[in-house]
Amino acid sequence: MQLSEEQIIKLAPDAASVKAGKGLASAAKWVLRGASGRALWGHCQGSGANPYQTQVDLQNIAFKCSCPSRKFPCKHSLGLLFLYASQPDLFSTGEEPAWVVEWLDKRVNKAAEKKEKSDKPVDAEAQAKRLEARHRKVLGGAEDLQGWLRDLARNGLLNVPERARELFEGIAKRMVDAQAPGLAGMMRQLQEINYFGEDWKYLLTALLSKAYLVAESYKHLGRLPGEWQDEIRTLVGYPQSKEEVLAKGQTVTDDWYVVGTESLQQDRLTVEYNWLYGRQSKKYALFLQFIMAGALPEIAFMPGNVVRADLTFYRGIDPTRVLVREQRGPGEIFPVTDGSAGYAGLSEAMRYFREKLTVNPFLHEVPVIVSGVRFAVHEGQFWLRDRDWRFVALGAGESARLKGLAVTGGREFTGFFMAGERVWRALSLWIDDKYYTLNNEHNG
Amino acid sequence: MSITDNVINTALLGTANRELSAEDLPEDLGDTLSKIKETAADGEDLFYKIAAAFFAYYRSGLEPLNLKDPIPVTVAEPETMPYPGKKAAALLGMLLGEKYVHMLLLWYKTAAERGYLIPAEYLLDVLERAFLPGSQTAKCEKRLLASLIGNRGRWLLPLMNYPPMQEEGNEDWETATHADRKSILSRVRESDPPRGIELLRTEWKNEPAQHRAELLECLKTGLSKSDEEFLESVRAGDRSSTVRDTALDLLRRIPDSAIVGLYARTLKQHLHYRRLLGWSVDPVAYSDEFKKAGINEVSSNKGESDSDYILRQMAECVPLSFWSEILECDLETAARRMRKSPPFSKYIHLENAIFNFNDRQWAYYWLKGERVLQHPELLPLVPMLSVGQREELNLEGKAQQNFYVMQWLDDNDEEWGENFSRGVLKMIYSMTYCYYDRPTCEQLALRLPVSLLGYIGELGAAKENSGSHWEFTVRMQQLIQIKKDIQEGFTADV
Repeated sequence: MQLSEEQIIKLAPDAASVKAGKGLASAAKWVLRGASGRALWGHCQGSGANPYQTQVDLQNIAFKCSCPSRKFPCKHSLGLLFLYASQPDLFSTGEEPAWVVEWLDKRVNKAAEKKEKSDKPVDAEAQAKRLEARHRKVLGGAEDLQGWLRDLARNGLLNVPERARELFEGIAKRMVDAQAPGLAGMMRQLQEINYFGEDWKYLLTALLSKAYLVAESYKHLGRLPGEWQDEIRTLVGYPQSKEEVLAKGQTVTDDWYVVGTESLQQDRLTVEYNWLYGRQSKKYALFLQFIMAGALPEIAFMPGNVVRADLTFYRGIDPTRVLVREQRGPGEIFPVTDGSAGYAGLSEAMRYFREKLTVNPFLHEVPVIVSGVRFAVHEGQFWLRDRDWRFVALGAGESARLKGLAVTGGREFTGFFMAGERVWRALSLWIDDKYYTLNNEHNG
Repeated sequence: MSITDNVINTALLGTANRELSAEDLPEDLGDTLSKIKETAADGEDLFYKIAAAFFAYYRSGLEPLNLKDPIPVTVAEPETMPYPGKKAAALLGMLLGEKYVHMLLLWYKTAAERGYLIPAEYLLDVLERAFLPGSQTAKCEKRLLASLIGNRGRWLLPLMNYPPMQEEGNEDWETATHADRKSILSRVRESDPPRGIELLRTEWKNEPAQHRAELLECLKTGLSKSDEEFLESVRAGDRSSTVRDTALDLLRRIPDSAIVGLYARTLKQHLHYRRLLGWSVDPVAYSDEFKKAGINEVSSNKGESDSDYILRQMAECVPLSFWSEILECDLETAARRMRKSPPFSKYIHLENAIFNFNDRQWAYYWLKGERVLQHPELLPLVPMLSVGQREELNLEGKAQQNFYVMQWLDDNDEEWGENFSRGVLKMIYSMTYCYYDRPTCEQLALRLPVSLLGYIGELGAAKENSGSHWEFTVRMQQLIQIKKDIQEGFTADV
């Protein structure tokens, strides 16, 4: 598998590792460099007498290095990948050394053991009891939340900004106690609103009413159709077990273009959002991974690559979240910039956005590929403009914004966006037959 | 007024103070409102349900903005120069990631020489680096980048809130800061020395004394007889003694200046050389003329007579041609004789004259045949030599432990010849301890030929038990390999 620099950057734990890794992407640093269809390996000469032994599993990206670094992947692994991406001809293509074969075999065995474990049957009766107990707790929580929200509405929201943190923290904790982490998350989202901005009144009112409606819907869960029950339960915070999703969810086999990834750092946990777009199905899929610090992601999706896979969708209303049922290897890159994917122009894209929101009004953002757009900057605000001179406001970090401008030079491009009701977010773009990610803070 | 305002105002004031009525909402929601009202438990329940319905309604009608005054969109001009190949681009990425400042500058220089641009995806990092406050290399980077960032970079600069990058020679003297003026002046002096004097004259009287002295220092570049008139006028009329002294110092650096002529005439009258007897001196009396010519009267050394002191000061300020005339021989012989048996041999430092006149040929004659490392006073002369001249140096023997190769790394990072490079490396490896920081190693690597990669390995292997030498070896091999990659990365254009 040939990875691009952008893709490797996505694998790095932080910006410092990217820098250090790039510093090692020189033949001078590697006394041994080897590659096979399934792995890369090398000896990196540090300042010590013995070089570090570094190896990368290319089939299902994984790393191993003999260096003492606590970062994962370490700079040596990244350096080896960077070097391979830029100068693959520097790598000998002989037989894998014993230490590489041993490691790869171990990984295959571990994967088989894991699969075996997951096939064990569950105690259905005990599970039903647990679910019932939780349902009662959540119901109590939903009742409390509504009561609390009603008090808030009665007194008005004018003085919320100055006490938002404490105000919502208390009720969020109550929701955690009530085993409704989804509702707790909604309350914590209210803490994150920028109360110095112009939009806070709108966002606060909209989010409060949404939380109220979710709680109300949960109270009447039995009266809702099956799909809506799943949706509301997910919003409240019920996880759908992997087995359940694989057993009951819709499976789509397709060539999936990894159109964007995002990472969210929460203490020692990294939540990784991988957005995929299906060639035949024209569906967007979200593969979420929760990675503890120092742990390996189960699957490493490379932005800009295509993977042939069976994806099973979670249950709910027009769901996007998926599990990877089976990866069938790398797929062929297919065009997305010729209009065959997504929408040409903002009006079309916005229509799609409205349709999605009509189907599921609880949606926060909608993934969409749009072509024929360009960036515009005016009075510090970042805009997206199409050929009909239609605009949407873009929310993006400073470095993403500038990177977008640098690679496009103000010209037209095709982009992958998360469309929101107030602002859109640009995650990646295609221009001059090249793919660029924009959202990752340690880009480039 | 936005259609969301009624709902938001009710939320802000509280349902106890303001009730949300049907009139506040769009007609389309009339039926929904009635249904919600039938089931609502209280006013707040009603408010939230209506608000939820209302926001869903609002979102279902969202359209992209069609602004009355469209936002202007600018596009970067197309590039006229090509981007480098994948290998060179990857190297740039690597150099930006590591702290290889000098190698990065080499990449920039090579790209500029071969007419390539910085790839667009690296522009952000490159510009942020160049404008980093406190960066010691920012000035040099900006100078090189002016031609490398292309139209895309120039278009991006104002969007990044950076000032435009001016290509060399386009700066405005009138509006330049003092630091910029110094660099403009130094550059102008390289190509058109009289123009430098013209620039100086424009604002001369308005500059403070310290600035005048610093600007005068820039005249060292391209200094010649044609500058004498200006310097004499400064020496005669400037109100600051620092400025006058600087002018005098510069006049002493012009071999055919009146002041050096005065020294030469005086020396000719009082200093004699006879082949068999050697040097003889006729005493000289101190005069006002000498005082004006910057000669001190009394030696601080008891062992040196005042007359000898006066003449010695002059002897340290005359060019090699003077000695050639006195000794009646060619320049090389004169230099050799002066090195072997100069007048006032106990106290004279003719190296000062070599530095003053920046006389490369004299330095070469001076060092030729000497075991340079055994004479610490000769070491500073080495950077004055050309690459070819350095090849002839004798670097045999062991350097003193306090010798630091940094003093041989001048501003010109031209690659050294193989003999000299081998000598330097041998000297470094012969030292007991060998610690060189990364920037020094980089600068050294820039000067060492790539062909010595194997030789460094051999020297390193011979010192494998020394940690500092091992570290130096690894670092130098890596850096020279990077240098090689930069040179070949562009050549191959891959």
